[in-house]
Amino acid sequence: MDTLLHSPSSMAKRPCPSQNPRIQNPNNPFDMDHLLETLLAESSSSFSVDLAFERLLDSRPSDSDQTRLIDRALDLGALLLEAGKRSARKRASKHNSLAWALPPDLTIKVFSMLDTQSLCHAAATCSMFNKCAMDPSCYANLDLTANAAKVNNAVVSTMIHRAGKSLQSLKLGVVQGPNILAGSCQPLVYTIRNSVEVSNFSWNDKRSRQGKESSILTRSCLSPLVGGSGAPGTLLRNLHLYNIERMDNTSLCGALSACPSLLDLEIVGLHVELRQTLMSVSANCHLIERLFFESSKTGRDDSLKSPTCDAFVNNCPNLTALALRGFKLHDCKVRTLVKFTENFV
Amino acid sequence: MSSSSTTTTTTRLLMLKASDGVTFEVEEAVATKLGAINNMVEEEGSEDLICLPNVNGKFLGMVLEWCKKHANNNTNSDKGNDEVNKWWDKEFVMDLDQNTLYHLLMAADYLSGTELVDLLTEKVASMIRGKKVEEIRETFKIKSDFLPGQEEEIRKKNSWAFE
Repeated sequence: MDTLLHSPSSMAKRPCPSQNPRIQNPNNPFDMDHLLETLLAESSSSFSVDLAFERLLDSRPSDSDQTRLIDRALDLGALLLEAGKRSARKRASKHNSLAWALPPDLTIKVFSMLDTQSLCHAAATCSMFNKCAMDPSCYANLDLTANAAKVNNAVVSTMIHRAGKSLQSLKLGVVQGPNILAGSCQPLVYTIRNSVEVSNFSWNDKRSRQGKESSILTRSCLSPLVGGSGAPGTLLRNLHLYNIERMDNTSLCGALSACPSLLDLEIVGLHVELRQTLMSVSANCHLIERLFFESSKTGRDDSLKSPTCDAFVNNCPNLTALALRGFKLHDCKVRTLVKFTENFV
Repeated sequence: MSSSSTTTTTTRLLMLKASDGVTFEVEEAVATKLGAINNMVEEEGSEDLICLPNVNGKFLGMVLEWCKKHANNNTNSDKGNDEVNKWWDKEFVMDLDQNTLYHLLMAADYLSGTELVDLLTEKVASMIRGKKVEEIRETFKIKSDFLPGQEEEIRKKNSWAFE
């Protein structure tokens, strides 16, 4: 490690080392090399440096000379410290580029697979990672469900802006309990045969959620998706929202209207109406393939009317998976939704 | 991935030559799973030896092993392939040391083996996921080379992630 500090390479270049160090000119680079080498030799312990400095100081009779000498010593110390740190940084950078053999494009691809918290930690490890982590495509799949209690609207906005037009996937809110995880991962949701699942899943664990971490996001957390042409929502394919209690119908529908490319929508534990959501999806997200909707209440959503189901079915022909949990729906509406899906088997 | 598996008439063989001179004889249907080789075959035909100067024999061999396995699994039966492939992929990446992982990933990228690139980048990502800054440095033997105060500034910009 520190062998390089005593590297003799600089000496080799020196054509004619002068015999007497006293007549050396510090402005001559070769003499400077020699001076520094002597100073940094192994023998210079703090004790010997101390003593030498004392002696030098004593040899100066005038007070102002002594002051000047002390100032110079401090300056030189600072200069050496800076030079040492700079070299250490350079060597660390070089070491890193050897230890991490991947080129930037593959590093960025790796980073794009990380959840956003892990990405932030990676960005703080070294300058190479930090540089790669500035690429918008690292933020293409934003997953802000880890450490969700700390994620506020400003964080969401910052991350969405870092992604810009690269944004493909956004997961927000507090994911809780194995129930929800199982629901979103079970293969049955994806198969066409079982594509409509209307269960009487009750939100029994609602009480148990109290006191746990809860999302500090407000209803306007999705507003950064909305904007003029080229808004970040334009190419968004996946949107998963979990237990954002302050989200409301208007804000959700506003966000959906900015997401024409949406393929996969998962909504769990939001205080939004099924009817409004289906209307908004069928009006704006014609490409939708998967919709997973879990009610925030044990309640029913009587507001859902058959025409809404019809419109949804007609406007979203690509739908292959639909799961509605926690709703009590009339058979006829279920039949409409199922029949449609069967048409596409 | 190309769709050549459906169009193969026979088991035509291709000769691939790695940067260190090692050659491999591979079924065309297997080798053309790699986008780069598929392009070369389409553009220049498959009569000659295909030279791959940017990948050495060790890693080309591993990439081809992966392609072969996936090609075989896909012709065996229609159902359960995904499961078999997934299981096999897991085995494949399990014991790779970091250096092999990096070079295999670069080889797969050079050969445009999209699925294999995805598999390997996911493997690297899984080694970062959930770790703190110090743990990432330790895992990948990376040193901090930030300017004074720079790391604090980066942490401050993403303070939510560090609380």
